[in-house]
Amino acid sequence: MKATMRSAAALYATVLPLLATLAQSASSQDEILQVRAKEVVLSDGSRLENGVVVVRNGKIERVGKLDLDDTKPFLEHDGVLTAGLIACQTLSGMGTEAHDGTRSLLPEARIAHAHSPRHSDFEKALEVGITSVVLTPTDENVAGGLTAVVKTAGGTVVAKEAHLTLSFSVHAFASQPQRFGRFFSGEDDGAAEDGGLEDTESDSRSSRSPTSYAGALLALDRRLEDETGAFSRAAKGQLPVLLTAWDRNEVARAARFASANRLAGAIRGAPLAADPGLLPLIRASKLAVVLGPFAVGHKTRALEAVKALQDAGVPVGFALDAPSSAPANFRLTAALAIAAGADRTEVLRSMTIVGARIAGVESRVGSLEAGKDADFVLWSGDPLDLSSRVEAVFVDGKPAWRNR
Amino acid sequence: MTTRTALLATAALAAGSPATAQEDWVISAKTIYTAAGDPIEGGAITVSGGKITALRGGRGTKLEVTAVTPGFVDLSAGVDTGSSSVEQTTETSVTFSVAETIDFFSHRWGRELASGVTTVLAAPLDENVLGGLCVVVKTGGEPTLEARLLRKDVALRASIGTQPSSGNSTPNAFRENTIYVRRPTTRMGVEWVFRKAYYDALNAQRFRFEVDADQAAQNALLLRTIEGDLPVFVKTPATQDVRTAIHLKREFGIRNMILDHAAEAWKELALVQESGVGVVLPPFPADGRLRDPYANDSYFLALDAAAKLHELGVPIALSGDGARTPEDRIARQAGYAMRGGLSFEAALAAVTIAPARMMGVDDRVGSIEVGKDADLVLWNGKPFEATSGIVGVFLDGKLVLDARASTAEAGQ
Amino acid sequence: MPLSWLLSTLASAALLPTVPLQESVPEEDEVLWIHAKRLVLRPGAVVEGGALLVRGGIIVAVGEDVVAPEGARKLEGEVACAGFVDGWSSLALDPASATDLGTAAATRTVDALDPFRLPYQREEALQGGVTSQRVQVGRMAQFGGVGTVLRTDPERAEVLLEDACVSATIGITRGGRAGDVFDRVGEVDRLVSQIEKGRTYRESEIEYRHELEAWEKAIAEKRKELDEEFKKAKKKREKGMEEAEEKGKEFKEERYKEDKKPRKPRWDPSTEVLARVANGELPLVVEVHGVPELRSLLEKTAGFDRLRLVLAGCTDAVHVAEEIAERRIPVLLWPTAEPGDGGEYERHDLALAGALERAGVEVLFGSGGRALARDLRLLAAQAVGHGLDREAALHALTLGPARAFDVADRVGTLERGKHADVLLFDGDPLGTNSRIRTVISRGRVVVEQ
Repeated sequence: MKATMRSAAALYATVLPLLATLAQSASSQDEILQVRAKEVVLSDGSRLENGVVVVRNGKIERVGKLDLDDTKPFLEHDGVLTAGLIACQTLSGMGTEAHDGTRSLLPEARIAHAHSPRHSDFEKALEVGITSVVLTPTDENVAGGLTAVVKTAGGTVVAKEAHLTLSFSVHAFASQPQRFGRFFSGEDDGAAEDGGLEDTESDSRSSRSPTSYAGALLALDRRLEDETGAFSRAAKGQLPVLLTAWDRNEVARAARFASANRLAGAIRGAPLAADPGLLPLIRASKLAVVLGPFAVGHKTRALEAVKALQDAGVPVGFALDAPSSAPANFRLTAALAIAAGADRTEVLRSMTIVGARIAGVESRVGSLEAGKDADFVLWSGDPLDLSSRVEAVFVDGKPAWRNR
Repeated sequence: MTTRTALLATAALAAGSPATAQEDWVISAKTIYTAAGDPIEGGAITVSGGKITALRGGRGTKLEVTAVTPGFVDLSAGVDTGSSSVEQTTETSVTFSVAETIDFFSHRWGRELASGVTTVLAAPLDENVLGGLCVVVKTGGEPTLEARLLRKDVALRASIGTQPSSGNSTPNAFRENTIYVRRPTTRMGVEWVFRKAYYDALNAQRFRFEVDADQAAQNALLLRTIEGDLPVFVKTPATQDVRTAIHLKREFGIRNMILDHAAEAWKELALVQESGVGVVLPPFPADGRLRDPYANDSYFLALDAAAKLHELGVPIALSGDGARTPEDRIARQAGYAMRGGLSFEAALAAVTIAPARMMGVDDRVGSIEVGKDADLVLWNGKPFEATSGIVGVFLDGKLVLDARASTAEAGQ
Repeated sequence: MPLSWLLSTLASAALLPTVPLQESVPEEDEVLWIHAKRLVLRPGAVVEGGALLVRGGIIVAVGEDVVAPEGARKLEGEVACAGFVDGWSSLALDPASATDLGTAAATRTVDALDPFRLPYQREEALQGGVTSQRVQVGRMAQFGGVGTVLRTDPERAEVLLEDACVSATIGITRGGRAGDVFDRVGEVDRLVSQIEKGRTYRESEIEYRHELEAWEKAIAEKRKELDEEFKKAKKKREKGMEEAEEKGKEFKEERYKEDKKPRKPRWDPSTEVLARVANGELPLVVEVHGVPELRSLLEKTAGFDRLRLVLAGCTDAVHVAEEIAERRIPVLLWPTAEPGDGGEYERHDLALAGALERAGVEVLFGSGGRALARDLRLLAAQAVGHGLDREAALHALTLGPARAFDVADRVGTLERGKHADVLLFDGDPLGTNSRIRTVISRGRVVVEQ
């Protein structure tokens, strides 16, 4: 406890005059900031002792075991520095705007217009070290719209049209989805064959067309033949897709659809991705999988999916699913996955560079490399250890959040 | 052997565990009921490469049981995924195939296997008058369509009665205007929709109307039912539904029609016999009454219905209809039918070769003959007796249900 | 050598606390020698390079110089500490019992335990390091009844303490409805009046006993007198009756003090239980979240000098932290970010545990009355990451709940004479990067990974 307080005090002591210096230099020259941390963790898992990150005008200029230039503003951090975390799915800042119930196919709807950048959901995401998120619609439309990648501070839209969302879930047809209750252990019989994780056959039906998996597939097949628009770009491989699917037969259907139409992108959901009947299909489709978030008591079978996918070489990203899931669950997801056997380096990569790749923005964020945005997080200890805390978050080179 | 252990064994094997991969088996039994002639006493079935290769003994892992029957074929097993298996945008979704909507991971498959059913017909839910195309699949193996498909688009599913009209409503100022505000809302409407689809198809053919691609595909399928190479598999629970279906068959000259869930077909014996339709009976209820969940009505199924129909030469099949309780299982239905006067041979045929023949898959399944798929049910007594139990099931030459495994697991 | 061994065993046995009759000695008598680079006996007491010797499920020796006897099974680890005690759980209870709203103070959890229920839950809890749990029915009811402390091990579903506490709730959402502030404070009044009833019942019970004794003595004397004067009295009575008949008057018999037998105070099982609570025999766990009801509760229970209170939930407790610390009331938290059933936890701050601890409050951890013990350690680590002192977190997982629920004589720390519930880690117990390698429950190695 004392160590972290010292670090916080040190932070306080250095950041305040730092801001003043920045204000001074802003008008005339380039804005430069140097940050030295006891340990800098890079995207390949390697750690630089007393590593330095140099930021110029909001971008990373250099990373390495460098000497500090005393004439320029610098910051010493007694802890760990990593790239900012990326959440591959969330409904942050959107309220009820995430679901448009008028039609089942709205492929051109841009979710970027549905969010409010100053919403408190984004600040809460910052508190856990998340610097960029993928905003998605809910899975209640067969084609929900185009996702956007936004920063959690400053309201920057990194990508206005990142994926075309398609839902292969029964929630696109059922009027009363029973989404979350079945993920938590306790009342359910976890020894059931599906681990109690699948929707029982839904009796409620959709009041819009299509009302069945076959109808949805037919509609999608038809739209993929469009000459212009989101579907045509997806069909040509120019726009990745984000397929939502929960039950195993839905995931199988989604994977095959992607394989058959040569679509690139990711599946979101798939709690039973570790099922041996499913894994080969997912691997063959070359899709990534966005899992989580896991909360306390999340069923073990679903936690094991992370390790199984890692072992199979399938890229994994993690979802935030705010505001229905608490932001702290993002870090808890990683801890639960690790407790269930997942590889630590790979989990950190899933939260950073692999997440950025799934979001399609890896040219700008996701790792500490020269030329990328200066989005990074200062931790009191190992970022995957729940007993360490976020001390400060920088977005585009500016301090965006500080632990008081 | 507990059902749960059996289901676990099934699940493990359905996932392709290497334990019982392609082995050769020799199953010797006191009696082999082939459903293709007289039973064989003291024979031994050789299974190799997923097929039956001999009936008089051979080489392989030995298994000894009291009786063997072919794996059961259930045409009315209810393996749909609820309302997401039928496209209800229109009441006549003729061109939709249920193949895309099957959930191969569902626990229902394990349940079917446990009751000895190795082949089922998957049909769309009967919420539409013309629901779409059915497929015949095996109940075990890899959870993919390719691995389990026996025959695609074997029949056109139709439904006459109260179910297709039950979800619809008439326009009403106080009710939300959804796609379900439409015809049919009564039995008359159901018949009307059926008739109109065929009428349009025949007219388009006769007068060479210009129609869009969807309509043309629909018409083509309907014409195929008239020409004969696509049967119509229609659900007709009540007497009036049976009459309606047969009248429609006559009116449009539908060659091949099979009545499903035809509980009251025995009330119209002459009509049914004369029309040449096949009949699939639902499970026999304890008090003879099947309640209609969509209307305040019941249907009556007499215990001797199967015997009476069979006597007149009507092709019959029995079904388990999803078999949630042991009483509903298809093996019990054969027993009940025998209680009603049906002979053993006819009862056996009604759960094996007869339904296979109805759907045109009798070249692969339905009887124990050399060259057919090795789908077998192993018994510890005379089949269909209340005191006999199923001790093993073979599917495509793999032992997917094994009483021996349960005793090993019981020790854990 | 055998003789000296025998003597030392006898000597150490003599120092052992008496083991209650309800417990049975485990069948296997495996001797374990557990060695760790850091042996955490209790939070704040660490032995570097120490070892434990376990025999018959009990720790018989602890220290730096404990040697492994021959034939002992040797277990090594980086860090060893006592098995975690989940202070707020519903393990081995079916959902209907756990969420029953109709329980009374006299309802006993031990009656509802199902030792065969969902064994995977117990295994997962063990893998998470939780070796014993306080289990409670009716977690949402006004009075949840008498709770039990249970061992997690599915092979030995041992009850450590049948009557461990009484639980109550104030102002939480029940059946989808939450009251307003007046309702909630009113619930405090009702609770306190019930405890008061318990206290006066106990007092009146004692009074009754005294009075009954006196009355019985009087009756015995009277009877003796009667026996002596029986004949005399009989004649007198007969004479009196005759006279009355002649005179046509009513005959009045002499009335004894018999008619004034002291009335037993009205008894009901709940009052009996609350009497034990008022007397301090059983602690009272009260789940309460809001500041008005917390203040009211603290104020109104100040007059009960023997009452042992434990506050649970306590979402807004940081505002009354000084008072709680002064009264030395432990606070039982479920340190999660989940909103919970009724949204009580929506305002929950993960920094609550740290804030309370800094104000001097003793913090305990539990799984919020659910069967989620598997992740308790992760939640504790999360609390540490939001400011809780590491030692306090370990205390909240081990000694704290054990002491609050009166099982600290057997579990909660690694000391001689206690049950051998030991966890071996490959790193810091509260760091989620380290994993539990071995779990020993009552001397039985239940998890080894």
